[in-house]
Amino acid sequence: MGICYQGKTLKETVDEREQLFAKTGHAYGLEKLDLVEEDPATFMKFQMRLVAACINARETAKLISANPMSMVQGELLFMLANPEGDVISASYGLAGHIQCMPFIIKSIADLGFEEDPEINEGDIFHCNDPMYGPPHNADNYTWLPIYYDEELVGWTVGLNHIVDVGGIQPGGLGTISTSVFTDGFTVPPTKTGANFKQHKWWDLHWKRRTRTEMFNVLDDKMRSAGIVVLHDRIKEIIDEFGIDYYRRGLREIIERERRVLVNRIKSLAVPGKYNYLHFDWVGYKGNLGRLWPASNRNWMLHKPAELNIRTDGTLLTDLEGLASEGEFHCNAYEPAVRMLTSLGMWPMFAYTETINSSLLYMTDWNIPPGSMFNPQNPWAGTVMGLGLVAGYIFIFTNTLSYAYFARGYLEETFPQDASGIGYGISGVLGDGLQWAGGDMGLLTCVAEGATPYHDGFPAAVCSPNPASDMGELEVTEFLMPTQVNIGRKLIQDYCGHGKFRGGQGIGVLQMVNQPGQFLQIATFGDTHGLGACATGRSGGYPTSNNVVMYVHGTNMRALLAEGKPYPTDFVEVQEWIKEGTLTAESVEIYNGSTPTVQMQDGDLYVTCAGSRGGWGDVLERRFDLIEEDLEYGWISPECAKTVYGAVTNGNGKIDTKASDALREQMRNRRKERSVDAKEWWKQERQVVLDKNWHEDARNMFADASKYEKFRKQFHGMWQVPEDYTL
Amino acid sequence: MAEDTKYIVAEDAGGSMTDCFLVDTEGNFSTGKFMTNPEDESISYMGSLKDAADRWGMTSEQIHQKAISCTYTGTSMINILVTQGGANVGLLITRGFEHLPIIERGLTWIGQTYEDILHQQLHEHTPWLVQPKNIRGVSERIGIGSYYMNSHSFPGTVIIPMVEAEAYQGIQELLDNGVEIIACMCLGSYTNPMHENRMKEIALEVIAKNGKETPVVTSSEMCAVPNETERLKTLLVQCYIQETARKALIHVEDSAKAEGYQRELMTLLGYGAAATVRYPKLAEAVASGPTGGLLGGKFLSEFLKQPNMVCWDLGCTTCDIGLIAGGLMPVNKSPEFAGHKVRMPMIAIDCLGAGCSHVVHADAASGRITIGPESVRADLGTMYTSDIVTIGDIDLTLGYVNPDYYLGGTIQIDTDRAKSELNKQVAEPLGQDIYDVSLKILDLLHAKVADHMNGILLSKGLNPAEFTLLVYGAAGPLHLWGLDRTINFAEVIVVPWAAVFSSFGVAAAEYFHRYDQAVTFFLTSDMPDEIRLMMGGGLSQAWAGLEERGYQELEAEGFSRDQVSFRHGISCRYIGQLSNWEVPVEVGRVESIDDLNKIIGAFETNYTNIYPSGARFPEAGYQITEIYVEAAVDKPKPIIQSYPLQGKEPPKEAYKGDRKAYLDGEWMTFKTYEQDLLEAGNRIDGPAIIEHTQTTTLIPPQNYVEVDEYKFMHYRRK
Repeated sequence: MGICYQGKTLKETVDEREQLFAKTGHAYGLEKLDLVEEDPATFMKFQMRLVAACINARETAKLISANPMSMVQGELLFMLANPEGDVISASYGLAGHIQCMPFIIKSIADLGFEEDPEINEGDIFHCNDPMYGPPHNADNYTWLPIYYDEELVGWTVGLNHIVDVGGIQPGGLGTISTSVFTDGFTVPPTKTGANFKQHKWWDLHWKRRTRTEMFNVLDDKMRSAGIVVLHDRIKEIIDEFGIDYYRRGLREIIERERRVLVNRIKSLAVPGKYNYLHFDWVGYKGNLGRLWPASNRNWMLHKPAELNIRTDGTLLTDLEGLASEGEFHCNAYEPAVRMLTSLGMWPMFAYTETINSSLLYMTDWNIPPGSMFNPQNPWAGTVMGLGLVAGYIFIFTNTLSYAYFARGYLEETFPQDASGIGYGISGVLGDGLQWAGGDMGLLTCVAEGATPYHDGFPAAVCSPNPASDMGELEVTEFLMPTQVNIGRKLIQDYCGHGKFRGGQGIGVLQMVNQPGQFLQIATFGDTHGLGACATGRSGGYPTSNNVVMYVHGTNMRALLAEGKPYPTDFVEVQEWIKEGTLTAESVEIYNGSTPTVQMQDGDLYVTCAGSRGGWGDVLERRFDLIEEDLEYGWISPECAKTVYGAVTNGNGKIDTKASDALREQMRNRRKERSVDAKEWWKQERQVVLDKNWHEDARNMFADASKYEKFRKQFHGMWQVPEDYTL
Repeated sequence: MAEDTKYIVAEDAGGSMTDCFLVDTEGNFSTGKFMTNPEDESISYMGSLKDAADRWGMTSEQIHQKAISCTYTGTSMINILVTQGGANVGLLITRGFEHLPIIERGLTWIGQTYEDILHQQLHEHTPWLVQPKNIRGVSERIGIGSYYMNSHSFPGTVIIPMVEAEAYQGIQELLDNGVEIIACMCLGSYTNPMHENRMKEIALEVIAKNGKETPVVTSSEMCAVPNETERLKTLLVQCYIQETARKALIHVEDSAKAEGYQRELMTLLGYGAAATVRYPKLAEAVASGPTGGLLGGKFLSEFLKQPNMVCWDLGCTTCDIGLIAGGLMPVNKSPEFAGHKVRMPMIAIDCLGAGCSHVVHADAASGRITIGPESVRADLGTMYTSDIVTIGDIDLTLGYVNPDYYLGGTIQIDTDRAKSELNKQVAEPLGQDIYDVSLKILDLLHAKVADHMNGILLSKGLNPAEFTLLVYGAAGPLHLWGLDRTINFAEVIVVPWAAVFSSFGVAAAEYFHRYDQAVTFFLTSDMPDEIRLMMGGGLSQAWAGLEERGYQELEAEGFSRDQVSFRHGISCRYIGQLSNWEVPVEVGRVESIDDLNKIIGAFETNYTNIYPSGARFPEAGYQITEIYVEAAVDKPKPIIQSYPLQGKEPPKEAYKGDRKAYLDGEWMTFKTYEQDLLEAGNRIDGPAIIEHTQTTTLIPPQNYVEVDEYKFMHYRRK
């Protein structure tokens, strides 16, 4: 006798979910929504009660946390799932993470948890192992079964992003890991508590296996407190509506919401195939030496996607051509892809008061086995595969923007690019105290991309967390006292220019203050020096790359002692070094993720990210907008002239006559520089024939050639001989 | 009225109406209403008072000459923000943070619904309170201390000395730009204000040299507490609106004085205190709008000796919920208004989009029904001038509202249009019976309010069954039946002046100032008693410092030290946590370990009320992060009149006839009564409707209402 409805086992129930959808095309085979149709108002009340329950659980529990990512930056979610794992309602917070829950429940069903270790009332379960559903090990899921009259009727789930995962690098956003063994503390589904309380031994794991014991224990307390509160409330709601209504109602919510989403696509988009290409680069060469020979290399990662907007309003995303799995930190599993890419769907068509996992029922994916997002090596490293999935969020924001633009919905366009930075940090203070921390302020608040009708606002949006929030430095400095912030500002000219320009990025500058015995920082950045996903739209410029600088052995202390000012961003740092005001023994510059770097007192840690691409030709930008940019200092007169062809006179106004002439010249120069397409093709074809590429690019093409689709496109484009191989 | 009768005048100006509550020293009261005049608030102030005085056959002069207090809470502050009509502000800030007011942490979504938050295309920053050209950076940094306590630097350490030349030059440039007020803001200034204070000195020096009188304000004067973006926003709000708003309030005062009023005009601060319009931190009044009602609730909670009360204000566009728990009003330290998030104590009030003018949408394809978030405001509904149906249309269609007595019959409403639009826009698309679906939409509304109320109580560990629900606002009494069916309160009360209840609250406000200060005191179990007592000594000293500020400010306002009394409190957390919980404490000085235990005990009691015991973490130790002091003096307050109890049977003249209304799936006959004619001691059994010129109370068959000696209506189950 199983624990689910009508004595079915969890596995039978979960399998039935898939079979019914495959057979009918409707969630749970519901061709008719009886409860909705009979009485829509009562149904709405039922649904809103479930949502309110999740929101209240979050508002109650979140304050327990010590973790700024949960508290301020919103990386925290409470949800109700049905027995099959579909998330029915969720609190505000990291909306994307709900997509993983059906995968997690399927995992424990397949693993036979019902028999061993058993699923009893009050048992608490935990998982952060990507192989079983969570997106990466920083995202920790804690859940509790809901029993009603001895029947499993759902799960309450708490999720948050923890500060440190105990990997080979500090923090939760690793940039180097060769396998699961270096990813850090990765827990497959485990029963960690009973009687609505975590076991004491569980705390020891956070203490012994991660660097930020205090944060992680408090986070665990927060998750388990929240799911207990939610559990009790859900049972009250079942009492109110009756178990039969509840059981069917949960399924109708999913099917009803699926229909809402499908209708949105049908009414907004022009159907068809939309292609999207993204590149990443991962540099391990020289960092690992002989310890991990297979990882002592660099990778250029080919990440194509073809979005099929079908006429029935469903979406198929084909990733054929995706780079192979590797012995790096960048692998991910399907749930991670589903989870993170949903962040591109929420703003475009899935915005609703009542988020749930209905997206899974209208989005299909082809993720080839053996590719980095469908690894076959059971020990694949996944600590920050999510960072690499990130580029695929923008499949949806960008291609759907075109699909909506084509239909005239200018206000619904929302072109976005990847451009954020986060870091992990750890050290030993002067008296020997070990500590660690991290921050994601440059990921949790970035600029908006230009749209076809207005400039993007700076510091306005965030793909991972729709309630964008950089957090307060007076909170993060308290937790990371070695990082004294001396700059957090918009950077002039640092945006994708265009007829409408993207919002400017934000630069952060920290001076290292009394690190004590040891301090190291590892930075995650998602442009990887390529900025390839940051395409800019309709002739607009792409966004700027991330900038990460580690400035070692400076004269900062001497400067400050003399009563001199300090530099505040990467532009000033470079200028001051050039002028000689600031001296440095060495400077490391990266345009994306960095290895772990050791820092000393007076060193500067300089980052810049979060700008977005432009829309339309720069030479079509209105002069009054350029004047405004100049007045506020968003662009320099130099940029106005060289990029926009706008000449300023003495009082900051545009000399329109001179500017028109300059723009004419610039257009002519474009013509002069342009090459006949046939000629260009010939030249490029020769490069292809000679295989005259950088080693990383050659390896990438060779890897992609294993895909029939890629080979066909490549051979078709370059007309290479039949026997051409890479 | 007797020769020596004195008066208390209280007015609450909303976006559309200015309400007046006028009460004499015997407890007789009168109410008035007048259209708010944002351009010249003295006109609506006088208009509303005249309306109230007129009911007594008196003039506003007669009232003003014998008034012992006039309190006015206006709309000028919000208007200044909305119309962007504030001062030209200059800002001196830590170098490198010049764009902080523009970045504003990325909080572009404050006040939006979750659907709109997800739909990020709709996110926008608030209008700038300071122009980029009027911002200057000064090199300096104060360290804020650390979680790792003595393993790293202490709070308030100077990490980078201030480069004074930059301050001198910056101030001069700002003056040359013509700024009207200068704001100074340093990171970490709440731990040590020395750099901000020095900036201010330099500014005053340069201003004097320029022969100007430009005011200068520092962030630590406004709020010496952490969170730089919120502290800066508070400072900027203060600078941007304060003087303009003060002018408007003094203009109101002048009009009262011209009629013989002899004292200072008072206004209401966001944390529920009355203060004179010359109070230095006037920006604290910026979001005092909804607090009036809650203060009225607080007054009644003391009067009725019911320390636990949920206050619910339902009007056309408002649906505000506030709480009084154990006689205290919870304070929100980072409240939000008009898209801004500030750091100033404000009575915690939750505003929902669920008033009577909120629109009802039905989507035929999905069967989805939504209420709000848009409101048609004074257009009321399709019964009046709106084209979209509202909750008000439903109330009318179901027969709850008397179409001939809307606002006492001063407004003509169209029942037929409401019904046909409701049918067309909602019932037909959903394929539902108009009356059934209407009733269920009200269920949805009541569930929304109830869930939110439950959430507020639950997140503080409170049980609704121990609370009295106080209902007010024009539509509150009409919908309380739905809420009462969803939540079991100990008692449900409607007061006779429910429709102008907020202005009553303004009259009831206490005169006090509140001072907050960030502190860092750690208390761990392995600390020897001497060290713990040292921490306690520091705590006493910090409280004493704030008390001194209270003395000084109240002395400047004309009170002597012996008139002042203090209340103390802390914000505390387990070491490592980011949030802190505010609790009042009995002792204002720590002289023994026992005193210290009492303080920590107050925190623990509060914490375990909220969370399961598994969430406790005493082994980590405690950190006291902030303290507060409230310095209070006496102020005249309204008196509630009592009436002799009559029989249960209402007087014949109160009965207005019968009306059919739709409830619980059927049309039933409701007896209707005129509220003003009911007498103390009467009992009205449902089904009944009690009508008033400004509001309606609906009583289902399962309920009845008892009118007590104060003419408060107690809504009960049979």
